Amino acid sequence: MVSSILGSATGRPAPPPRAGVLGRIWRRPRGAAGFALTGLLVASSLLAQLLAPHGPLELAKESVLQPPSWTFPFGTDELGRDILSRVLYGGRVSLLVAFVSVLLAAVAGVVLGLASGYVGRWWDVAIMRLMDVVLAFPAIILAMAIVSMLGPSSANAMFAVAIVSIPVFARLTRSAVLAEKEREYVEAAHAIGASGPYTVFRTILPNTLTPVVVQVTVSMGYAVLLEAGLSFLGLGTQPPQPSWGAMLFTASSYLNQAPWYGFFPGLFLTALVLGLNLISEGIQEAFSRTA
Amino acid sequence: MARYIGSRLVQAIPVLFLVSVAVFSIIHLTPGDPAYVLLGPNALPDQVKEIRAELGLDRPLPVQYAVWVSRVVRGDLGRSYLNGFPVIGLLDRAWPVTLQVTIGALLVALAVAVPLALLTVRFRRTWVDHAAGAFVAVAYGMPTFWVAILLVFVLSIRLRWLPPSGYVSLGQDPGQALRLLLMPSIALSLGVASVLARFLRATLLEELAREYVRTARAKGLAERAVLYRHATRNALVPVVTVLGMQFGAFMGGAVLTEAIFGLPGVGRLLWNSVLSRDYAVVQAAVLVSAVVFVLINLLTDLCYGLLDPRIRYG
Repeated sequence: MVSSILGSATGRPAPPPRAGVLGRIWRRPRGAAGFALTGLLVASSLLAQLLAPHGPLELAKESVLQPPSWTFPFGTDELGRDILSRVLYGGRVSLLVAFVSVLLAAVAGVVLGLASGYVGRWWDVAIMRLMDVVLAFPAIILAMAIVSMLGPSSANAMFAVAIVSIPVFARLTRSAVLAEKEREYVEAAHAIGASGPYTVFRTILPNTLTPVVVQVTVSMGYAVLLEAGLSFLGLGTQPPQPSWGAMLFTASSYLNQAPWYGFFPGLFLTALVLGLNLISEGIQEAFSRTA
Repeated sequence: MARYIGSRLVQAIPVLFLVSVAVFSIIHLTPGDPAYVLLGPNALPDQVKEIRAELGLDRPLPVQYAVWVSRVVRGDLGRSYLNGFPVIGLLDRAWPVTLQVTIGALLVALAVAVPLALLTVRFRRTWVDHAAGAFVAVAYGMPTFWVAILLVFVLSIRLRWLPPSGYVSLGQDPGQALRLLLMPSIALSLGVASVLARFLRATLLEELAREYVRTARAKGLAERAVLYRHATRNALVPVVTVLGMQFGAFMGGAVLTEAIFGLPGVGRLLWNSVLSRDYAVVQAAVLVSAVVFVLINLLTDLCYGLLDPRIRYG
């Protein structure tokens, strides 16, 4: 998986994403399944207000840890809250953290990668060593260290996930820039007197974006798992706000009384990661056939 | 070869230095003076001054860093803010536990991934291949802690085959220790197993397209012998690298696994100290994890150089 991304970054340039690419991905079975699954989950959490039969924080003292029923399709939790509603609302946190953190990481990583690859010399050395340092820590351990400094909250978890996701974008962009820099169109841009920033952002950048787009979907799947892990450990989204990770943590102490409790949050989490990974595979397939 | 080892070692030094600076800053970037963290919010100014002098916090940062590094190198990782125990002792007790789970997970990952990859290659483009592919894709998306919950529910609560959680050292009661390690190892292995299975399938297919395979087939070897004796042996070489790269996933996953199964490993130590703001222990656990991770990566590169002569001279 990794080798194919790096392959397209260092090898021949893949065509830039254009209209019609989405159609190509959609026509691959994996891409279509990924879009359908992810789309369903995104829609269900965006429409949580309409779909959820109860409020996510609504307590029903008389129905604590109820098994699934018509009133509570996924059962109720230890405070009598409807698990279906909490799963639907909990998806918002997962999606928001994954989306924002990966977007931040992609922008930061691409800028660092461009600087590193185009300016070169000691900028390159400094940026790449910095990325090596981030990569020297196992991701969740670094994220835990960051959250321990800033305090547990979903915003800080988002920040931590963003930091650990930067290096892969920086490395990817750098290697793409190094390959593109030597090409004739860059020389042509220089020859007609284009400035450095113009060359970087208007001529090189668009040609390096394909691997970045693929990596965004891969990283988002990873970010969802990381955020859930942090919330599971009590370092991400804080109660009473619903999040899949935190729900699974509470569920693990009620396995005897309420085995269904943890099943649904975990199922949604797995489905979202699966959907995002299928999309990235679909994108890779769509591009590799045309490259 | 010596030059290759030398250059890889030299590359690791600046990374280790910067890692140590980053870890050193954990205490200093944390809002609030460590002295207050130690003494609580109601500390008297004199007490704070005393503690600051005792910890060396009144000296310039580079000096503090130098003192800290020289202590760390000698194995002195400070004392826990919480209970005053030497941190090195806490880590000493926690490491074997994490190591056991990690080795267990590694074995399970290999035991799952290698047969699965062979199966998909042997029956490629049949329903076996597709089913295994779907299993691998789902397994990759399953969070460690959900797998753990499902395992505990099925294997200990419903079937009552295994104890749900706890830890016994291997020396104390080997049978019970292994029974307790089984579920954590499975939970931790799944993500890595799916990456490995997918990777191995791709390399096996690559190997099967090579000339030596054609030769083996041409001389009339059974397809099974070609696959198991020839292609597999060559395809297993890059697996070393993948396992090395996935080691970080193991160490990260160990935190979650240990949290669920009540294993007193490094991950749980780190988790507890993050929650109790015991920064001395956080700092040490993070440092040790990073150093081990860097060394494993170094070792992986060296192994790879050893196994594949092309890398050394490249």
